Parts: sequence; C-alpha cells; structure tokens
Amino acid sequence: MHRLLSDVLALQNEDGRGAELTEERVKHVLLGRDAFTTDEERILTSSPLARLTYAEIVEDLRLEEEAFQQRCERAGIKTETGALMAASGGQYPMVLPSDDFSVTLRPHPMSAGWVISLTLRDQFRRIMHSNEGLALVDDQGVTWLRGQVNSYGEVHSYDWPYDETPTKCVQREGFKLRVRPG
Amino acid sequence: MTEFEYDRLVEMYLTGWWTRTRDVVTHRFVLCADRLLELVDRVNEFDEELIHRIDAEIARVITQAIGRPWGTHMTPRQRALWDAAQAVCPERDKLVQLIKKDKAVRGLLPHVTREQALSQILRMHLDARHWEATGFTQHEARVWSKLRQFSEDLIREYQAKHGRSPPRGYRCSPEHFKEIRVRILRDEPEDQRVGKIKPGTIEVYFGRFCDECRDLVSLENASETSHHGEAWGNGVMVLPPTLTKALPLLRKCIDRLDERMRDVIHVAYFEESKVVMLRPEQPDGGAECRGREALSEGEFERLRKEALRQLRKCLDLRMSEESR
Repeated sequence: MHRLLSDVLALQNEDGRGAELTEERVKHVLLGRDAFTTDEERILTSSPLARLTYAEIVEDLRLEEEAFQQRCERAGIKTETGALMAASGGQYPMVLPSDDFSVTLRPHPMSAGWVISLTLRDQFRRIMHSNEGLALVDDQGVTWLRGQVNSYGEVHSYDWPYDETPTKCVQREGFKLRVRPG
Repeated sequence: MTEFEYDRLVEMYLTGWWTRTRDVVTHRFVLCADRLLELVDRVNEFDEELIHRIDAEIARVITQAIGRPWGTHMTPRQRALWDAAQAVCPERDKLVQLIKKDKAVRGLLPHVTREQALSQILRMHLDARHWEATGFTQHEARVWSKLRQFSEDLIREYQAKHGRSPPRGYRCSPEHFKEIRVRILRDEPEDQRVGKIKPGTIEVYFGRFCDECRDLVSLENASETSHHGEAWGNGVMVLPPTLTKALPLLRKCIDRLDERMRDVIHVAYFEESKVVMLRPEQPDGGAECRGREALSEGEFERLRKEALRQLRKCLDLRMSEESR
C-alpha cells in the first residue's frame, strides 16, 4: 500500500509551493523540537518538492548519526550505558553512571516535574563540535533530553512530559540510555 | 522583501539549492511527457519528419513544464524558483540528440522505465545548462578541491582495507557521495564551503569535474547510469508519517475505480491475480490464464498508469476535503 501511495503521490504536480517548507524547518521538527503546523502538513500532502526535502533531511539525519558514531568509536567513547541496575529509591539526586558520561535525575524544586542533566566526561567533550546538539534516548526510543552542550559539557532539561517518572523507567528490566546527535 | 534579497533567493536556486530547481523542472517535464514518450517508443530509425515532431513536442512540454503558472498567488520563494528554472530552460535540439542516443528512453532496455530514463537525461542536461548559466566560480573551485580531497582519503582507506582499488564506478556512486557527506559531518561539519553540502549536490560536482564519472556517462546510455531512479516517487520516497492518514482514503479511491483498473492495481501492487499480464513469449495466455482476463503488457501498463492518474485525482480531492 505504501508503494502504491508513493506512486500515486509522485503524479502530483509541483507549482513550487513546496519551497516554503525549508530544510531547517523540517530538521527542527524531525529532531522533536516542534511539530508541523496544519499548513505544513497540507504542503507535505500536496507537494512532491516538500516531500523530497523531507526525505533528504531524514537521510541526512541518518548520516549525521553515522558520523557521530564514527567520531565516538575513533575516540573510544561509549555512547550507551550498560544495562542499569534497578536504582534504590528515595535518594536524590540519582546519578546514572557510564564510562564517558553521567545522567543525573532530581525532582524539580518548584514544580512536580523533573530536572535531568547529562554531563560529558572530558574526552567526550573534546570531540564535540561547537553548537552541536545532543539527545539522550532510552531503550524504548523515548527522548529524555535534548539540547546544546554548554561550556561545562552539560545539557539540562526541565521538561518531563511523560506519565511514568524517570526513576520508575530506570527500574525497568534492560533499561539503557544512549547519547545521540540531536 | 527587497530586490537584493529576492535576487539572492534566485541565486540560491541556481547554486546551493540547485538540485531542488533541477528536480522540480524534471518532475514537471516528465509529468507532461506522455506524448513525447509515445512518439519515441521502440524507435530505432529517426527520419526528418519524426525529428521535427519530437522537436515540436519537446517545445510543447517545455512550455507546460517551465511556463510559470500565472494567475495564482506566488510567494517570493516560489517566484524565485521559477525565475531560476527559466534561466536554465532546456534546449530542444540537445534534448532531441540525447533522446536519439539513449536506448532506455525509447523503451529498448527492459530494466529501466522510459520515465526514469527521461528523468536522468533531463537531470544531466539541466546540470549542464546550470553550469553554463552560472559559470565556474572561485567558490565552486574550492568546494570541488575539498570534495576531491575527501574522496581521495576514502579511496586510500578502501585500498588499505581491501588491498585493491575500489571497483570501477565506485567514485561516482551514491554510496561514495554519502560516505563523503558522513566524513564531512564527522571531521568538518562547520566548514563554510562544504559543511552543509548534501549528497545530491556532491553528485552534481562529480558529474561536472570528475573525469571518471564523466567517462562513465559518455560510455553508456545516460539513463543506465541513473543512480536514484525517480527522485520523486517510484516507491523509493520516504513519506512523512502524517501521510498514513491518506491510506484509508486511498483504499476508498481504489474501490471507486472501474473493475479492470482495480484488478490491474491489485495485481501490480498487492499481487492478487484476477487478471494476468501476458508476456510477449506467451501470446495465447497459457494454461494458467484460464478463467482470468489476459492483458498484453502494453495494455496492462496503460491501465496501470490511467488507474494511478485517477487515484491521484481522487486522493487529492479527498485529502483537501479532510483538511478543510
């Protein structure tokens, strides 16, 4: 069905309106920083050019991830935690250690949310390019945080939009966290 | 938007965003080219009258494909795209020559569709027109020098790893262009010249400056060296997840097709066999056709294309109703 849909949509004409959807905007959405507006969704359904832009950015993000992995491998940096042991509750901040980075969880002091911090060790910091963004993703593909690394090698998130608390997630069997470009 | 800013937009569509301009023109051209493809279908000999008809048909297609869709409101970006497209308008006589040379566009190669072949010919021709229009700038010379350096590094690494040179054509393959992009992202993502360059643009540079890639194209039919089929569909495009909403609408549209077209779609896309496509070697249909309608390959393809056209109209209508 997907192939048929693709062939049918390929017959749509292009009057250039797809140019309104820029690479930067598609990348922004694909990195989870925003969602497409109704107008943008309409452009994506009606414009082959917009879909080409979309497909190119999907592919470029894949290549970006490959480049990041290569850079980490060359420097001997592990981007993933091992399977974390179920953490003991009650003690905050909770630190999830790993060879080349650590993740700290603590309840937000002013609200019911959570503060999550990613801290890179020196070697990891050294291979980062300026303005490069990182994301922390768990074994089920849930993004824990995303942002640019500050001068201390840290990324902080004050937003936890999920029902399950991060401390509960950590107790899941086989739980892992992975750093990826974001 | 000032005139200066607008001119800059047009320039972008002729330089950094060139592949967008080229692919829009190619897409529109191929969509209007049914009659042109009919004219050259399985043709081996070109007499003067045929060449004249092909030339006239190309002129008509160019008018339809590149003529600006007047009467509709256009944003500056849209207008800039059209202005850039008109600056590299295809040349009729060159296209006629390319079509005469290429077997696939004349339906003489079984593994390449005529539309794919025409797309590839056009892309090559438009790239050449683009270089003519923009000339060879210092910036491009520096970009090429950087790209060549990344390419050489990758080839040296290949040789060290495998103990032999990469196969012929590797340097001109999409895999190599993607490897170059990964290497740029890994080592020099902030480089002002190549940091943002995409594999499609890297391919354009290799098509112009790399001797090996140029030789490959000139030795064979252009369309046989096609790398990515039709960039705009042909089952290869990554579709945004929001388009899954279109699937139930598409099912309804299939139900509205007439029975023969519906059957053809089922055979072509869902491998259900209510009809049988006859291969040239089995003109009587063979035993397996009993009880089912047998269609010649040409008729099958004609019905498939017509069904796709009807599905496109129906889907566009239903999607626009849904989004109201």
